[in-house]
Amino acid sequence: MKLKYEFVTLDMNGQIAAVPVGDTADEVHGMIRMNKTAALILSLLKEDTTEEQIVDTLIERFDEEREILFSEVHKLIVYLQNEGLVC
Amino acid sequence: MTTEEHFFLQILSDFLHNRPTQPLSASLDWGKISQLAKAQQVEGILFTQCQSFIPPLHFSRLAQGYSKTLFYYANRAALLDEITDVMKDESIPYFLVKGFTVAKLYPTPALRTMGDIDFVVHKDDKERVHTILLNLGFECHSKYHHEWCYFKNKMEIELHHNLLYDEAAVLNTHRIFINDCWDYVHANELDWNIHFIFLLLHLHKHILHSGVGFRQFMDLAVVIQQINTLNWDWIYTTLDNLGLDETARTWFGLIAIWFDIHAPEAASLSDSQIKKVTEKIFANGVFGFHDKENRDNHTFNAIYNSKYPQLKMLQRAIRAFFPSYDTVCYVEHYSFVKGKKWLLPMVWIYRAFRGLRRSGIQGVTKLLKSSLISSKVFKRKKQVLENFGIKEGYK
Repeated sequence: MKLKYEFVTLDMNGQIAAVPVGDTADEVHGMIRMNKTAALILSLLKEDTTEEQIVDTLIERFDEEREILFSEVHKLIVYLQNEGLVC
Repeated sequence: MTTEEHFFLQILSDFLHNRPTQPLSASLDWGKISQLAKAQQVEGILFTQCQSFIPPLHFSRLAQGYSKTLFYYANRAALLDEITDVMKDESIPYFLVKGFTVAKLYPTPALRTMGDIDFVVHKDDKERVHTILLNLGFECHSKYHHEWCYFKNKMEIELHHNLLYDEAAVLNTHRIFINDCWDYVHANELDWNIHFIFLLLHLHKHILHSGVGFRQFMDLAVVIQQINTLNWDWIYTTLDNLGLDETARTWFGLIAIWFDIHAPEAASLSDSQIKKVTEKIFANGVFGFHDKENRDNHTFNAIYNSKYPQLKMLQRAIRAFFPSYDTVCYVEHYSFVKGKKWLLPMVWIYRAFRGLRRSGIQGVTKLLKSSLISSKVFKRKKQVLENFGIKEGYK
């Protein structure tokens, strides 16, 4: 699983905006506002990966239970899938 | 100034100080505020500063402007990374000026709009960079003037080899930048003292030609506010040598009033002068194109220091119909004449037919009118320049 489009994340004074860039940017309408953790997940999705691998990376950085992280990652992935942004 | 204009300037000032904007208790015409933001290309700033209290009727349009601003910034940033990665790999020295570099000083860089990215490289490296840009998928739209223009995904890159060119140099002393700018570049970044002087010269050029909006003054303001290595003694000495110190002090005085950002030794301005300049900049829009009065600025500049203004106007009218060899060489459409000066009369005939076919006799009248200026308009324009602290015009 990986992002179908290329995104650049912009720091909007604390909030993050993920904006589509490149040749296919016009195919994505709008941008995604997110927190820093979601931006990290998005950056991991630039390469082919799995939900498990993403959670493994997050566990190394955040002091949080695996189940909770997994649930949050899953929610974001489902959102991105519904928006047609991952393949 | 209207309540909306006051509020608009408050928004810009709050943004530069990275503080929230408080809603006004007075009722505001948000349609008017949106128009001001659009004309000055700061819709993203307006949306960010006021999103919690923008009326629903105007919310979606401003949100769209905000998204568009971010979209263009992100895409420019991505293109820039692509280019600079290759330039670094190929050890080609470069630096950036204006928009993209100044944007980094803003509280939220992505909200500083810009039309293009200005790259400066050595003249000898220009062809190599041209090839790099083509390999990266850029289309070259113009390679006939000093600045070469490239497009990719609707984003424009301008490739320069100098900060100022002969015809843009207002005074001979400006040429220090033509010859020496590379001495002030370290790690692909131009020293901010030089960059600041360049921004002032660039602003001067725009005021004299198409006009300026608030954005150019905001750029100066963020440099004053954010760069603590500015050497003000050197800056004022350099401005004095350029004949621009009084003018710059006037601009610093305006910046202090509009944005509450203070440069040392800024001029103290009368209320009437502040009012007139502020009104002019609101009328101008970001590059002065909104104000029709600016259309004949070129003619005004040409006759400003002339002993015989009528003769000068006649000369300009003749030049308008029979442009010089150098001028036509820079126009892509007539570039076939390059190196064949004897073909110039053919260009004039071809250009006349082309112009007539495209614009008819109205085009001819328009061209003639653009070379003439009445004494009443002349006086009015002179006063506008004086309000901006410019007393000598274009030399």
